[in-house]
Amino acid sequence: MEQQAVAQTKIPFDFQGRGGEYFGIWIVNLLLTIITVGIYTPWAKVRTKRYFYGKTFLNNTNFSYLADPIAILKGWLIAVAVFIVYSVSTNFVPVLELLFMILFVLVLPLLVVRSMAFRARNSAWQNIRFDFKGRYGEAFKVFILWGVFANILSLGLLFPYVQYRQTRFLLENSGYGKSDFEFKAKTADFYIIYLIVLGIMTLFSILMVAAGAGVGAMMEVSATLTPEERYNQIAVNSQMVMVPLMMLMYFFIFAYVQSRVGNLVWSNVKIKENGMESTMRARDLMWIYFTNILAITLSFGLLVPWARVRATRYRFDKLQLIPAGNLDQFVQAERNHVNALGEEMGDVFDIDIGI
Amino acid sequence: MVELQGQYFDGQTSEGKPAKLLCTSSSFELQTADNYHCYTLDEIKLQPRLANINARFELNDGAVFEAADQPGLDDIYKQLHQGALHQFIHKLENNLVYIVPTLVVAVVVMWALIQFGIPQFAKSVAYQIPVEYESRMGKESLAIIDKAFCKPSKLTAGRQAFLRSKMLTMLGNPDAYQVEFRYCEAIGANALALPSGIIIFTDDMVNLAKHDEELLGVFAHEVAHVDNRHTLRHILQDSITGLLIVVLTGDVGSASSIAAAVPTVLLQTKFSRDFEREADIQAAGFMVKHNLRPVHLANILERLEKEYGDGEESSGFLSTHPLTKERVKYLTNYNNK
Repeated sequence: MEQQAVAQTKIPFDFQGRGGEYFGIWIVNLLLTIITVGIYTPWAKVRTKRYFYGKTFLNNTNFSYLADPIAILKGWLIAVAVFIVYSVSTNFVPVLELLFMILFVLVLPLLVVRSMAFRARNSAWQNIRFDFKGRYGEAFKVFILWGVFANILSLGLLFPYVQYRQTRFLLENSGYGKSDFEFKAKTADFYIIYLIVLGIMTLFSILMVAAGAGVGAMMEVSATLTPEERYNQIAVNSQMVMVPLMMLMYFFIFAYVQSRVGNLVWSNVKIKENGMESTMRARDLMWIYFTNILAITLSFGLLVPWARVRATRYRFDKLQLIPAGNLDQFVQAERNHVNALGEEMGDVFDIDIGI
Repeated sequence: MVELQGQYFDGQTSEGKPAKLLCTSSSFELQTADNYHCYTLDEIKLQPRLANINARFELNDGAVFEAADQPGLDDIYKQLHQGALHQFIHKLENNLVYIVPTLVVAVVVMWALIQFGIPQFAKSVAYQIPVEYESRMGKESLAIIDKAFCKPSKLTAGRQAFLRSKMLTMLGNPDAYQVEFRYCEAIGANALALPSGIIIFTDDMVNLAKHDEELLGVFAHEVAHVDNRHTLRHILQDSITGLLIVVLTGDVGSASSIAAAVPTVLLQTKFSRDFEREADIQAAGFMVKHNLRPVHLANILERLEKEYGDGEESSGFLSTHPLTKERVKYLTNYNNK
């Protein structure tokens, strides 16, 4: 009885996108992007995002994506120019790669901050925009000092802590209207996830060696072969068992980390005392990713829209808002203008800033 | 006159109020339970139509009126028409009658771009890049190869000089080329053409040959690579394809990066094969001109495959080359013509 009362107070996110509908948008985007040599990219991006935002409902109101394609076009043109200069010049003068690396390290935090801000300020719900106030200095600290140097120097031992710091930076600087996000997760929560990953890896490794050895032992080896050839033949056959097992392990760990970290992060976000609850499961994600990759491959990419809608629907099916009170009380913040350069650099160079 | 039911958000707080919008040809009257405001045509902006997501009317005071799909909305979209282009795109996206031809056109255009557009573009750019740049590139590549994979050749100086002079005397402009011999365990039997005319033979390659004519055949093949600026074109084509894939998958999201990597690699392999074929054709012509039988090149290719198979050891040479059988057949038949 009591559980039911609690369940009733939660507000589910509702994603109503449909694969067939998105297919039309996707294929037209693809065509226009090709025949305009990419100039249409900003419009394609805005239409895609408007569709996904507009089909995501919370408390019967949809989200809105408000970016201006022209603003994105400017950023996109600069990003493409930099990409061309980069890929051509490093081919001619390989030493330049080093220079670009240094430059990239210095610029990356700026890209993170700018693209987060652009994305947030162009997203709205109930006509109140989201916001991001993170600054370059702090971004440099968490993404470069911690993210690159501390990770390498600690041989990955600090990785969960670094991920915690980066997530905290991204969330605590985010806001909805004038209300800032709070992030309640602890470092230990991140470590627990990766300790379990370590456990899974150990278990799989033992399984793999056992299976490999089993196959090797059961095999009949022709007596006419030299010891070396015999050894090679056993190795080849064992690998046939071990490689698929290893791929299965990587796949599972990927889905496991995605679901557990996603749940941890979103279940610990608070906005003006309103909480969230995320309940993704590793096996569901694994199934969705696996069937999506299969569908995309077998359809030569034509099922990309279907796969994307499906993954998004799962994500929002497992996300709920736990309201503390009235959701009508959020107040709009003052508007600051951000250009789309950071966002587009990130897109063209395929930097994924995900929370 | 059209009456739309929807939600009103004033833009100050997140509170939503039920509202209706009365649209006439010249004005928009917004009514909520406690408010009434009349907007003129240019005080109101309607976001371009997209699938059946809510129509979003942005008002000049920062407020928003949102309406779900309902009778009459079509007329309003037409009235506040946002240019024929937006209407056209929306039509394309929403009718199967348009989508299917769109799909066919998209596939054909993409195929043509990859099959002809990119190679042609790379070719014209490659021939315009000054030779000085290419020679620097060649020298740097040689330095990297020497550092990473190769040691000085173990062939005698006499043997090297003999082969070198035999190769270079076949050419009208021997100064433009440079023949190098290296001992490269990691690469195996192979010959490489670097930009700016540096051609490297590995010791294993030289030792694999039963006749020097075979090496001259390989040399002719590599010269064809140099003359056609294949390395440069290859780099350009790879870069452009990479860019194309990035641009096209940009709106698909990063989840597809694996899916995007597959066609990129496949295309790059296809480009390599096209260049190999072109080099074979020219090498055959070159050999005939110098009274060499192209079957010599076929012989060494066949032996190369026998010795190294299609295993990993030969990945630099064979996997990006057309099927050896096919090449051998072509070269052998060329001889009989």
